[in-house]
Amino acid sequence: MRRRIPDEHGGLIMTPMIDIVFQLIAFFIFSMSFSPQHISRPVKPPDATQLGEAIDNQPAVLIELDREGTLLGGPEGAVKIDDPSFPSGLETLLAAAKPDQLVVIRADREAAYSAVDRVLDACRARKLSKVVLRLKVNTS
Amino acid sequence: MRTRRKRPIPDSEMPMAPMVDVVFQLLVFFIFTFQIRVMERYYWVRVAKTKAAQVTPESKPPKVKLQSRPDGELQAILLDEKPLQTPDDLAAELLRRPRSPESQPATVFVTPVGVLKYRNVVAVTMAIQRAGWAVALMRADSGAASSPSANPSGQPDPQSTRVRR
Repeated sequence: MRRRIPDEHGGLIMTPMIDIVFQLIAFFIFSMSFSPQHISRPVKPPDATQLGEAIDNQPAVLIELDREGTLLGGPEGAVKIDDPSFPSGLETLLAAAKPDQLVVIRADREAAYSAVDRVLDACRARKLSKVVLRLKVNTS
Repeated sequence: MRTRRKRPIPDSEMPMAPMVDVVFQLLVFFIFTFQIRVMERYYWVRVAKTKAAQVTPESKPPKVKLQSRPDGELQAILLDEKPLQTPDDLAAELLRRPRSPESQPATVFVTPVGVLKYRNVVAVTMAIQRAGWAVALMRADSGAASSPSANPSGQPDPQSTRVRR
């Protein structure tokens, strides 16, 4: 009969595992973004090449449109572009913006331009002059 | 003589189990909240405050009309009624155009017509910028804005928005 050799520590060797786990935690901590704006992942903005600097630190009103042109984040939830409450939903979102405040339009690449145009038009009507389109940086 | 027996030294290692528990909790939190960072930047749009045009009647800025297919893709790009196929063709054409020195920055008026997709408008806008021109985006639904009846000056009505570099 074979005799069992007793383990020195009597358990698993934890050190390498803890090393790896700490490496993973460090990776996640450093890759975490603390953007003040909560953006919707389903919205994929179009690619663009010539874009300005990131101005994430500025307080801004975010207007998001998905691929169907649906307005996201409004008080009434998602509002489709052909819905009668689209203008009022947009107005409610823009009502929070001061005249010198930044308005960020983040629309899906597949959305109809007319939806973006309606937002731009609403900004003009409210005399909001600082408007930006949030686009994806084309790295290729 | 009675010899003292040595007592076994108690295990001086730290208790690892609670720390490992917490570390795993952290790891699970980070895994579930992790999002791949997409590089997004801003493209400034200058919104005209009034309907008044900053276009002098003497200057003749290029007018681009974007025609769309029913599926939202670009059907044709008309640069002063000259049909072009792609945004790159438009950029090449604009590079060849002389710009009057008094119009700073030289502006191209872009009118999307129909159910054009947003990405196509952005692609055209970027092409114009590559050629060194500024962009004035016209209202998408104002196809008649540049008609003489809508605007007696014959100039496009820049009532909507101007995009700046």
